[in-house]
Amino acid sequence: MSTTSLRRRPAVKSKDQAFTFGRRWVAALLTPQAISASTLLVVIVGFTLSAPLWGINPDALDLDSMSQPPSSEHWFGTDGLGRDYFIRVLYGGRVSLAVGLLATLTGTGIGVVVGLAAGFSSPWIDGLLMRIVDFFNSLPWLLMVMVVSLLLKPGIGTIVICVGGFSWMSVARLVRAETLSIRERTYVRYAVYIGQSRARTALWHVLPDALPTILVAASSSVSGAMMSEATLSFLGRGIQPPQASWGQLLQIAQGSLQQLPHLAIIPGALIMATIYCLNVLTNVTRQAMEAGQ
Amino acid sequence: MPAGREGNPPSQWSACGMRWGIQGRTMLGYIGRRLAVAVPLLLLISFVVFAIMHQLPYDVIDSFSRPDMDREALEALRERYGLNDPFLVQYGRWLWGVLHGDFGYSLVSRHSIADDLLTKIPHSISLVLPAYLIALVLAIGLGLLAGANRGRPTDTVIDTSNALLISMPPFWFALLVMYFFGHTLRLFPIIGMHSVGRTDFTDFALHLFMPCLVLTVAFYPDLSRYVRSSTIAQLGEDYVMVQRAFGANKREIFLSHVSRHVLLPIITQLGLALPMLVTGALITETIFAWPGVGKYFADAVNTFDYPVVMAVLLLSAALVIIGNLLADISYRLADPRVRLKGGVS
Amino acid sequence: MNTVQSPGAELGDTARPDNILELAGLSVDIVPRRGPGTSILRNVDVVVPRGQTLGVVGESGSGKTMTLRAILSLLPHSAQRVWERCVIDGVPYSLGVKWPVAMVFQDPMTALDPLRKIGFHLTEVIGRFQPDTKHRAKSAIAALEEVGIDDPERRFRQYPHELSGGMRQRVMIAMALLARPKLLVADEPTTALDVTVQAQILDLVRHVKNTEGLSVILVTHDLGVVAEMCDQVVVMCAGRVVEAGTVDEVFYDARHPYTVGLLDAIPGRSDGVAFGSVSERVGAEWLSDDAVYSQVSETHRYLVPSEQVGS
Repeated sequence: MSTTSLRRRPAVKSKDQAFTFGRRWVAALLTPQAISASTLLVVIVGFTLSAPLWGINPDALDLDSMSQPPSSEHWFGTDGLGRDYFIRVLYGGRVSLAVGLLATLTGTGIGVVVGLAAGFSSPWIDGLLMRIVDFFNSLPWLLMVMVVSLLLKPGIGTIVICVGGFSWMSVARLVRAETLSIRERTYVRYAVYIGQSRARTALWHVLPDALPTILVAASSSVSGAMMSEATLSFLGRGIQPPQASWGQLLQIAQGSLQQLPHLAIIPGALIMATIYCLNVLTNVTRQAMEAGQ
Repeated sequence: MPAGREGNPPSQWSACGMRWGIQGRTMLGYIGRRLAVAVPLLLLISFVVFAIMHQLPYDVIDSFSRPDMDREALEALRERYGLNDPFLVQYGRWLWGVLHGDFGYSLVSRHSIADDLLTKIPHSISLVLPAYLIALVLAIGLGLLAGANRGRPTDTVIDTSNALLISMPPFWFALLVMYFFGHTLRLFPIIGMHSVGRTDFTDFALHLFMPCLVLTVAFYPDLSRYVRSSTIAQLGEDYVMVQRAFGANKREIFLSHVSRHVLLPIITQLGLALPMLVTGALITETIFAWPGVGKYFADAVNTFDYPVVMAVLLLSAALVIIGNLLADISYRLADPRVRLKGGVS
Repeated sequence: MNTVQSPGAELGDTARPDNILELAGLSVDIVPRRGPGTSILRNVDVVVPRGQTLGVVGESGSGKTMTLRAILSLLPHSAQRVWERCVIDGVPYSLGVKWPVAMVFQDPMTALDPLRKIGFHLTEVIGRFQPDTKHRAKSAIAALEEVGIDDPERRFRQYPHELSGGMRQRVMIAMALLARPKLLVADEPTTALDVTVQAQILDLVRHVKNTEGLSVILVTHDLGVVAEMCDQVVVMCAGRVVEAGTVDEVFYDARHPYTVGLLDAIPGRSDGVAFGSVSERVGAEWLSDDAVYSQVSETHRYLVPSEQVGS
């Protein structure tokens, strides 16, 4: 068999494993717990995505009806500046979810690259990369992020960088461990033996096999990223007003807690619900992956 | 690193020490080598943070200046604080001070940072320590209980409540607690550590209750989950089956055998939790205006008070490193499998 | 002509006093909370005459370990156990009765709690089975000496990981003896050990059996061990007993094709045709649910496809 045809064809084994994992995953998703979690998640996400369709302006001040409790006209009431809270919560949800996803993508992306490189390259590079991981791990997270957030202009991009830039380490560790075990498999060693470039081997053979692990790590990252964003915004270092995110809304709600508790209760409850559903789904994914070991 | 919840989730004791090239047989030598590695690490961290703070377009003068202030006076202030000197000079000046035990002065309050820290660190500890200990005791008890009754209602309740509590933003819970206990029931004061003019313990305890409650709830679920999964893992081990074969009942197995295995890694967790004593309550301190190190840092960040930021960061990073070292050492001392191999592998 | 009897009938209605263990009709199913259950053991009969050694042989997954666990009530929570009769030392099974049975486990590395000293393990057993002992440490050290561990005072104070595998297995045997059993059950006691140590441990088992007057059940996949150590043998495959009898009968007059294949697989006997799993080469009718036992002699019986009945 010529080497060119091997280069173009990924190892069949990877596809098989991915396929069975997919089947197990779908089966696990069909349990009542997973279904209710996904349903709730879909409802929440659906509502937030539908924000523009409601025709209410989230920034419209209505000084006649400031600080109103929930009513039939304003379902979640209004905030201190008379803005309709319902629509602000929806828009805030969009931001929170978007940040969660983007930060996860960033963090997981960095982590996968570092982990693959560390696991698949020479021990020297592995050692160097792992020392970098140790360095980042020994930084006090919240403190560092607060300082870094000063440097960059406040906004979504900043938070994504901050959160993603400090959450990649655990993914890198996991991926490195997976890579180290996958690289001993026969078809991987064979690919290296016949001269396939390490980068291509890593991409075509190692990465698909590590996909379940990466998926689990990523899905648990999302809830972590959302919590981080909420924390940062709550401390005033994340999303800035008038743009809203759930954490940001909580921060503003502090000021009028006694009079308008609903301003604080609603966004926080949504954060909790979203993160809980994500955690349930992460568990389901992890169990599906472990069932195949 | 953690996801914004206060306190770090229990993480596996890492092979960090091994990776940094530790060889040798004596414990003292081991400690010495770890500390030697720590110094450049701290230098690097301080350098990076200083560089970041130096890059900022604003400085501390901007944080309290108003447009109507005299430009020249502001510039004179800048000169006086040495804010116009080159970066390396400023860093060198700061480092020199630190090496002599002088952490400098807050640019905002003009107090000695070292003095400030000496007052504020005990404040933070008095908040975090009770919360962590209560959370730990609860977690060990309930985690063992859950693991022992796996699959049964007790376990389901404990496990589900853990999952819910982990998803709950601690600052949201703080607001709820504040509203319910503070505003509605008017049971506890919501701000600060003392009412004006009072220094008695009752007053302190009343102020302590809510933030401590919030922190306990923040610390508890991760620990509980960890204990539970550790217990379940231990129950699947061979030696448990052997114990059953020799007629041990569940209580004996737990008390004599499983609990030791579960508690052992927890001892190392305590070491890793050391930095939390000082900076683990940043959010809570900010919400309840508790005069601890966390609030000190948060205020400093918001006003670009860089000497304070540097000092607290350095302190925290040092504690992380020391905490890791303590966890490492206590693990080696406690686990007979490692201890008797000469202490270091 | 071979008589065909249904399983268990030859045991009669009353247990014979010269059998230390009579187990009839044991069936174990694993029933998980979701999904179908699987049958692990089907209709297993085990009889151990007093003072003799019974070998239980079969491949991995044949159910040998599960049988032992069923006797000692060590099955996982999801297992359901059913038997027609189980009598040990004349006493039928009931919940809470402490039986004079002790077990030696397969893997000495993991069978001992690594955080407890050897002495603790032993004194724990003494405390449970001989609570009136005044000087437990002394008894423990004496037990260590009895199983051939030298410098027992030092070993008493050590942790499991400081001992070699063979020594740890000796400790396990000492623990088992301290429980004052009448029946010693050993689950592949030498599988995890070096070849040189295996012989020592087997010698120890034999020695202990003779000095304490024990009966022994020895589970193994090594037919050489069976030939050397055992008086009776039970051959298991796929959760069923396919052949049972004295060692001579089964070894020299093997009837069931699985037994024949197993004997052929002993290196040096088969002319090299031994690759592949033995059970795969046995026709399915020899292991089917309808198969019944055919009695060759008073002690020798084997599993026969139902079509061959009445020939």
